Amino acid sequence: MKNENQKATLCSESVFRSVFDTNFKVLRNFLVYKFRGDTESAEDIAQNAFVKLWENCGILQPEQAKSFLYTTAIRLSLNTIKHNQVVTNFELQFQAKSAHKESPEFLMEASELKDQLEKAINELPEKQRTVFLMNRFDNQSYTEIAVALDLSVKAVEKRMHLALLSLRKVVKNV
Amino acid sequence: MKFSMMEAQNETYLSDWLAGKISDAQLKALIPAEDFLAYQKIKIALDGLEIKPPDTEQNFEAIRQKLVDKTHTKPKVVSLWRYVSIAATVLAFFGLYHFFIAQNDVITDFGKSRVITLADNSKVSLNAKSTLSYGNLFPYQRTLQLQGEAFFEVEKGSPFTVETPLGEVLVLGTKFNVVAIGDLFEVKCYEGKVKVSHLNQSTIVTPGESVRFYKGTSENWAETTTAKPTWISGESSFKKVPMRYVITQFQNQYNVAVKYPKHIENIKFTGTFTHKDVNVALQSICLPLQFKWSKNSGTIILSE
Repeated sequence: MKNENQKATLCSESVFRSVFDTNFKVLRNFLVYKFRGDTESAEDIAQNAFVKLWENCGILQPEQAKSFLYTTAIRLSLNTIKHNQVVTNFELQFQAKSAHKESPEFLMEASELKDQLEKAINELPEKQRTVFLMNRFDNQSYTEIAVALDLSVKAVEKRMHLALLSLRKVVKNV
Repeated sequence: MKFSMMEAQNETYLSDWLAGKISDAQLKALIPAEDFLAYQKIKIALDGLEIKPPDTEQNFEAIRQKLVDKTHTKPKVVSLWRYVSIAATVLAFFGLYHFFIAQNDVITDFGKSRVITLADNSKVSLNAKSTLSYGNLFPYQRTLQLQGEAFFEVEKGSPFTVETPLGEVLVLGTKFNVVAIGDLFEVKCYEGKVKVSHLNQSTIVTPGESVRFYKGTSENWAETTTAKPTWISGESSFKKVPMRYVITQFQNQYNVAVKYPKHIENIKFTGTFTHKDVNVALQSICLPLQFKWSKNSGTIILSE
């Protein structure tokens, strides 16, 4: 497959589009998790990171795109956050697909748990929260997260473990 | 014992379990049942949660629009080039100024002399309290300005001009001494030929000859040639020089104030004084003219 893709360059629109489809949502979510900003400014920054990716498409290989996007987005965020120091607690939503098959009692309990988790997740240290949500909400593997954030897989695993330990404390009485 | 190991900092059994690396049964074996239930609850609850997903198409369109906008704002880059070109022009002017107009000044203080080798290998010995200036284009146009006294050893080549407030000295390659102090303009030629112009007069001076312009009169004389002016070896020599000028030279060498009666200023002095010892120098000046001198708090007073 690698041989087939040897000519694949980021400057081709189809390759760029596929990089966008794979990465845009997770990159935008990552920014929300990391900076607890609103989704609108996270999307704006993620868009700008893709603009930079396109501008540098000539010097980047497609496999470098992911870590370029994350690094660029973090840098851009730090610039804007300086201007605008507002940190909002992000809100969790029930996924539409799972809502219909549950009983009202379950939903009631789940809603309670959701509130507790929301609070606990907002209170997690930034590093644990980011990694934990990337894995849980966006189904990114530890290896994928490690590549995106330039961490070792072991570090990702430790953060996951610690995050879960913290969350356990708030669901003590459930 | 097993349990305390689990609590160690390096453990990752919870992330292993989330990733499916260890089964529910394996986790149950590691931790209390109550904990296991809590973790399972969290895992299931999180599976049903998410944050609001983005509108993919809208975002892709936004990126496209930003790229279009960026290409339209390209003129900004051009205006940056304008700044760069302005900066370059300023730098170029500075460079031209420095190269063509800026002057090099060599200034000597009381009692000091200096030897300067010019770009064409000509040598200038500058006597005390004198100023020599020349432009950066000196190698192409051998012209320099002098105030005070200097001895020139000029390499052969294009015309070499010494400009003074009192007149010009034009040579082709020779050795000569120029004095331009106050209203006294004197040129002595040691080798070759020099052309001296003062006001509308001009004179050719040959080796051993001197010419002096002083208060509208000119004077030529010849004497046995020495290789260099005596001041270069630490003495000032004079031949029928007004006393005023001798005293100025004395002050330049020793940096002392000298008071003297007005009527002696035009007495012509012939003689030499050393630059090394103020008392010997005073003797050399005063004895031939039968003057007396005294010192009063740093000032030397001459009297008849």
